[in-house]
Amino acid sequence: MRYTFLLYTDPADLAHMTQDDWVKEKQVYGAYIGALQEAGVFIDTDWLHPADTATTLTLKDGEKRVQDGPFAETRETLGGFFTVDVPDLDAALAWAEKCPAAKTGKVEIRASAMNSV
Amino acid sequence: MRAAHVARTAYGKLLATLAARTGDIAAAEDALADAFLSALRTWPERGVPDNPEGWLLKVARNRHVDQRRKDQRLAITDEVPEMPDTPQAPTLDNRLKLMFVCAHPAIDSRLHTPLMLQTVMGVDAVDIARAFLVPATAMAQRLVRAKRKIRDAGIPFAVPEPEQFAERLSA
Repeated sequence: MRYTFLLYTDPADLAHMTQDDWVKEKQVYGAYIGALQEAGVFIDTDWLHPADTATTLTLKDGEKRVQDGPFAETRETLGGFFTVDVPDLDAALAWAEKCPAAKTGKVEIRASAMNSV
Repeated sequence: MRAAHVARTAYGKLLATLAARTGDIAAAEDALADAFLSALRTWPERGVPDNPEGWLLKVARNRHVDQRRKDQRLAITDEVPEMPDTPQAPTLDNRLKLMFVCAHPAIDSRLHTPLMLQTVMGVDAVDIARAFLVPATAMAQRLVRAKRKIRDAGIPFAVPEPEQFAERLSA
């Protein structure tokens, strides 16, 4: 079953990061990706530009609106995602726990709804 | 009445066995309820089968396959095999799996016991609500949502590894 991990971190928690810190962080994520690939569960991943560079579009209320900025709810903002193919939720949880983002923020796990309709 | 006796003693085992195949507890409950209705209709005339639990399981499984064909929402990945002639009793293992599912960390901990009461013990949602001092409709809705989550999030029907017992049983 496909699962998607949406990675959330509070930008304030990353404010201390230097260029060297980011290089190291990239290596840490590279190792995690390697592990997923080696286990044969890796589908896709991406590292997104920060939330303040985002654009939001909506067609709600029958009117097209384009806004500068992300859809904001809490302090954490979407920073990336992983998509894995594992047998069940327990397997997904085990991999999510190993994701570096779990240390500094939240990892939301959602099963794919592609085959349910 | 023999069907009532079977219902009391076997409900949890039968439901656990049915639900373990698809992860869909609500559908298993419906199929099992239909099977019990069939039993109430046919056993008084034809007599109670030698293996009443096996009979109920077979009827419930056929119901379930029919319902899935009607729904056509889920791809049928495996055909239901022919039931063997020799009676096969549902095992205690499946009830244990169902209990661990009900107590999974991905389910709100307030629902662990109500879920177990409803699925393993066959207690009516109204009675559960009364025991927990919760309005009946609220409890019924929470149970429906929890079973939907179990199905859609892919919570596995499995007894966890012994190393995980402490973590899983503390919920």
